[in-house]
Amino acid sequence: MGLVKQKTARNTMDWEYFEVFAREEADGPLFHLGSVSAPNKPAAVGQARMVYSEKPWVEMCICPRAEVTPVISVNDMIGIA
Amino acid sequence: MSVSGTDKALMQELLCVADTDWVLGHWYIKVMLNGRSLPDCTAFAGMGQDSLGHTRAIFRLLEDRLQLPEHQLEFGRQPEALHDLEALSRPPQNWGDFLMTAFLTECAVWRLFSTFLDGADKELAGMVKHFGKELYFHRLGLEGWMLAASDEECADMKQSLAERGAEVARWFGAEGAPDVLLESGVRTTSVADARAGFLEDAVSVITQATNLSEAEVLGYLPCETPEDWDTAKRKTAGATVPASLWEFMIPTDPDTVALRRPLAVSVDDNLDLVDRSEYAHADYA
Repeated sequence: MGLVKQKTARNTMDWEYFEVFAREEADGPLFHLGSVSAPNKPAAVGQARMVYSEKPWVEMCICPRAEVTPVISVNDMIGIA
Repeated sequence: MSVSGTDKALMQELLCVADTDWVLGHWYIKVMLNGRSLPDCTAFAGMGQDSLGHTRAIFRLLEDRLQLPEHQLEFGRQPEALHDLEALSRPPQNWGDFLMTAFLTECAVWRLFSTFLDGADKELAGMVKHFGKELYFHRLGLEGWMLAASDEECADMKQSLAERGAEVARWFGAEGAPDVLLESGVRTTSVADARAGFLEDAVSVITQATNLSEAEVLGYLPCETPEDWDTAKRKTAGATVPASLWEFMIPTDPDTVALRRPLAVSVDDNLDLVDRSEYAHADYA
């Protein structure tokens, strides 16, 4: 069985980033686990479930990074500039 | 130990699912480094791990019920005895071919396996439910990549569908074939309904990912079995896993065998597992 040799170059910089959150217990806090980058939401959901499967989470969700509204930020002086 | 007709049919059916997942898991492992990003590579590793885990869980279930020694089904069979899906016997030729074949296989495996979800065999039904939660994300991940395919990859996917679609579709067998598992209540959904579900899943994604119409997609997924069709193994009589793929699944190369340790068993450790007369009742070949 050979490797898949033919691969089309893709600009991964265009991919959207999704933040991944999960809850270990029903009444426990929602933890931020990390992020995945994917070309669309179905691929991101599949990746998130596969990559962050280290615990039997009772809940997991993803959110496009672009949809996150900063409140306090290391990059911006929110409220000043 | 005697094996009833229903038990025998169930064993054959579960081996079809397990062996197909076994080969598909090795596809994922081979393709893993072709992922487009680190999470993507990790996702393929996870899918491979899931598939091999499902395979081994089914093997343990069968070995327990048939009173076979542990690891008999993984290490004690020759490639001719495998019940794998024929479309996986040729390696993927490109990214589009890989996506299409893996997606069709995942859909087929889930639809056939899910016929046991509400069946009388509660131990098996629980296993189906657990596996189903994981297999959903395999299909979703592959679907995402299919929807993001470039024009070139899209053309490759269509070619793959034309070349392998019929091999996956005929896995469900001839329409109207007798089914002792359905009659005995071990499965509550008929294979014909499973096939209809498979076509629904396939058409839904492929029409979105390519510019093919529903009729065109269905045209590539006919319900036709060849004359030399092996009903028990759900493949053409005599079809076997290619030697190179088999070596990847059950390595005999001394260096590779050493790398597999400390796995509890290997082909070198347990040569006496193979073809012993006391296991003949299982007749898994």
